[in-house]
Amino acid sequence: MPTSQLIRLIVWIAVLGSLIGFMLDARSNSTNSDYPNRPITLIVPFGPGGESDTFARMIQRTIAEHQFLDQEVVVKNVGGAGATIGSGQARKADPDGYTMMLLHEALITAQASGKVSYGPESFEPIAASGKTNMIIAVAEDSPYQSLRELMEAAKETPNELVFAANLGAPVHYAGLILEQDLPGAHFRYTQKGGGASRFEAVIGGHADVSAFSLGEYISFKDGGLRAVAISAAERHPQAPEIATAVEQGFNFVHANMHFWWFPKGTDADKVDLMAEVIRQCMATDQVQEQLALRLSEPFVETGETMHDVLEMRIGKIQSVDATSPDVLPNIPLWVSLATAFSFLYWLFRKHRQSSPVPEHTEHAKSYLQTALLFILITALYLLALEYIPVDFRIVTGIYMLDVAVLSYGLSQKKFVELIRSSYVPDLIVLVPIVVFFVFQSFFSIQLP
Amino acid sequence: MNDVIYNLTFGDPVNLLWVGLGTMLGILVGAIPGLTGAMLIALTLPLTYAMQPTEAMVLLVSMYVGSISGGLITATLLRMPGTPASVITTLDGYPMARNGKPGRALGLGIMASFVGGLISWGFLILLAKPISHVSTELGDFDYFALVLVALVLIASVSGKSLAAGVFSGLFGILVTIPGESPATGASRWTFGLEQLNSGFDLLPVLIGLFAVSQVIHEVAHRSEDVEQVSEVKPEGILLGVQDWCKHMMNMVRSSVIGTWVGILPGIGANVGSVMAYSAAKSVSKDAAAFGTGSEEGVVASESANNATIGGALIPLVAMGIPGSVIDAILLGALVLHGLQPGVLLFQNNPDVVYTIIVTMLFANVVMFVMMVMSARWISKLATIPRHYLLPIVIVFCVVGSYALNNRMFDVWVMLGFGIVGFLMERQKIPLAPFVIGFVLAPIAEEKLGAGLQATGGSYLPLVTRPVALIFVLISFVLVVWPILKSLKASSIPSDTSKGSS
Repeated sequence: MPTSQLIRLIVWIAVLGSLIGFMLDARSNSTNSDYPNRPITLIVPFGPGGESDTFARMIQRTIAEHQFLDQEVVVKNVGGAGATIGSGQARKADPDGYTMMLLHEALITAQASGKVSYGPESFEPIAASGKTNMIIAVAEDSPYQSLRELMEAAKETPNELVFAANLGAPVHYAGLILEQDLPGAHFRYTQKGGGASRFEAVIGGHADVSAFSLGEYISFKDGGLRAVAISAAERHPQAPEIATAVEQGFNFVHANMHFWWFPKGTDADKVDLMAEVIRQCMATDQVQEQLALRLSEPFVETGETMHDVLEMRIGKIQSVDATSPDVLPNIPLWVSLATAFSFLYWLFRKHRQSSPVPEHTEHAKSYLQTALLFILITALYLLALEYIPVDFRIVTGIYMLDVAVLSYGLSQKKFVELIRSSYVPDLIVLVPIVVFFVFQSFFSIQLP
Repeated sequence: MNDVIYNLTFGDPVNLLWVGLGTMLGILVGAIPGLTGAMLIALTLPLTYAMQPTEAMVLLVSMYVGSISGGLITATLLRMPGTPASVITTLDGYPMARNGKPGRALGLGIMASFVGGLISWGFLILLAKPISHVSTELGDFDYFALVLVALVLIASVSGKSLAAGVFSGLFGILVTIPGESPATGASRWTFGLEQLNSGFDLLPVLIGLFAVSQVIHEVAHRSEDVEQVSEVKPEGILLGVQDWCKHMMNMVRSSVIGTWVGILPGIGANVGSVMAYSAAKSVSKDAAAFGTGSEEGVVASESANNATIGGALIPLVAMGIPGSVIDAILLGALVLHGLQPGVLLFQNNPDVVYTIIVTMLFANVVMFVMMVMSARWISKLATIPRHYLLPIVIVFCVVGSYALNNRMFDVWVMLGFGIVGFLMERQKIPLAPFVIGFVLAPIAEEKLGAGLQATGGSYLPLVTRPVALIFVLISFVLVVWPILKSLKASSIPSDTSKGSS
């Protein structure tokens, strides 16, 4: 037997062996019928690396290290559209206790600002955890020494002071809630997004005021930021110099919290079990240490008290009007008009220039047919991945064979040639398995 | 700083190991579409718990450098942009590889990445303090005007037909309309599809447009009538001195552009390479070659996207402000290790700051050595028969698009834009303007929106702010110039007949 054949044989045996191993492993896992008997997916509706993601992974690791659950928790990042893509996915998931979501108040603000139709009522809240206060801050050289002065100025000249916000997100609502306590005061909100951009806008003089989380404020303050209020009833032990909003006559008591959610209809005992797990996690030294570094409190609330906290926040957020005056040009309209116009112009130019004899040869026809066939097969493959619960590796292997056959030639002779004397059979078995392994096991991305 | 260099090399050779490991993993992840540097770094973060803070930064920064560089491999050889930052490299790198010069295309890309990294490193070390304040001085209208300049450069990368190029660019802008408005966050044009709330994601669209459309084309071509890539010439990867000299101007210019773009928050490596590419084309003596395998195009794109790394680290090092998504994760890593990022990072933890700076240099060198040594084998990818390669490429496209946000919708978007790209190429509509419009329009809209919100609807700052005014004037000239030129050309009859052939 030549060496290459021998290597091929060894590889095949190894692959089949590990496949059988996997299956046995999967069987032994599924014998236990108590909840949870398979991994729980935790949807984080933001990209990897953000604050919510870091928090989620911290809890995930704590659960695994202390074995608070028999099964592992798998973090699934579904970012985009102010967390609404992820929350939409969690809402539609089966309420079987195997899909969970971590999302702060953006769930409430997204509904209040009209981004999506659903809000907390479409979920079963499990727990509220980790509390961070907000800071209202101005530039160091700003004329406003206190929140009171700032708000009086916003009343004297309404819609003049620029508030750097993340429109429709909790930062935006911080400004709106402040306005409520001094009728007539109005800020002019401008879209700035994340904490770093808001900081730059304030110190660069492009905005007069913004809101930050306490952690953001501490890291930015030496760059020229000055706090005028903290959103709490009492002064913060780590920043006692900052006056509270309440002291200055504003009922702005607010803390960003991470809420844990199950889809609506999940059994109450599963909710209770998970609430207990999160409570245990928050009590570990490891989590407390990490939260202290971020200046957030290891606060955790479940059951009735959590529902009260949630109700209060929803009421507060829904009581303000988030619509801003519309000052933007109708960009979609202009862009579509320009595109349509340039398309027509291009057609016109092409028509004038095109050669009179269009190429309709046999060759071109078969080219297009094969292209169409390939697109169809790919669409079928994607449908199978999306809707049929078969193993990713099997469907992908079949699909790869199809593509190889298509690109090699559609005759029977060629097909036999491809199977007998090429590496295609090896590829269609090996590649799906390797891809599956790399993405699923290493990057813990759950393939469809 | 000398201490840090000493620690990194002789004092603690383990650090060199981290540089090597980080860079290698970064290159791998960068080369595979769907796996991004941000993803790798975010996932590695928890594993660095047990390490010293400086060791952790060494590993993570090396991953950053590797991940931006690795994208050029698949972009050049398979027309599959491993990261959005390398999509511009596909425009010329892939044609070069198809013309039998995959080794040289890779070699140029590697050289340009290396030089781009070094030049931006120079800026980082010399000018971090003085220039970091620039980014806060610039207002929304300045940003908008800056992006406007790059947008109107669409006209200059249009290739033969201005009409087709402008249409392609506007079409790219149109594709950014569905989803969340970058200026207000409101949804628009979602056609009742919740999945469309976030619009079309960058990577699935780019993978579709470039890689999937290419796979469709190649599958449809029966093997007998396909020109196989000729033998890879082993020479060409390690370029000679004259090549370095020839491209030096281009590399310096592109690196400076990349560094500046990197400093500005919110616009990343992909914008850097777009701008450098457009600039290189507009000053090139051989502008017509762009898009058909121009060496200058590869060099411009790759030096600029690597230069954004050093640029983005400048505000991080000097002011504690993240200049890119990955920088934000690096800041998070500092917090995990009990360090307070911020303006005082430099004063309080100079060792960490120097570690970041020195690692960037080391990682660039390691990246260069690794890529040059492996390029010869990697470039053989271009000669693998299609019936082996195409199934693998398409599976990676599918999995990569899915992995980005864990949803099938992105895979359908990828397939859809694969078909769009296929049709556009058949109609000889260039893809480059589409990419520029698609990448830049949301930034332009966001900045214009924020500016108008702050002024209450007044456009006045566009002419009263000096920076904005300069950029507005430049873009005006750039719009009018090609129109005048084409009018002048069409008034001469012999030129018209040439254009129609």
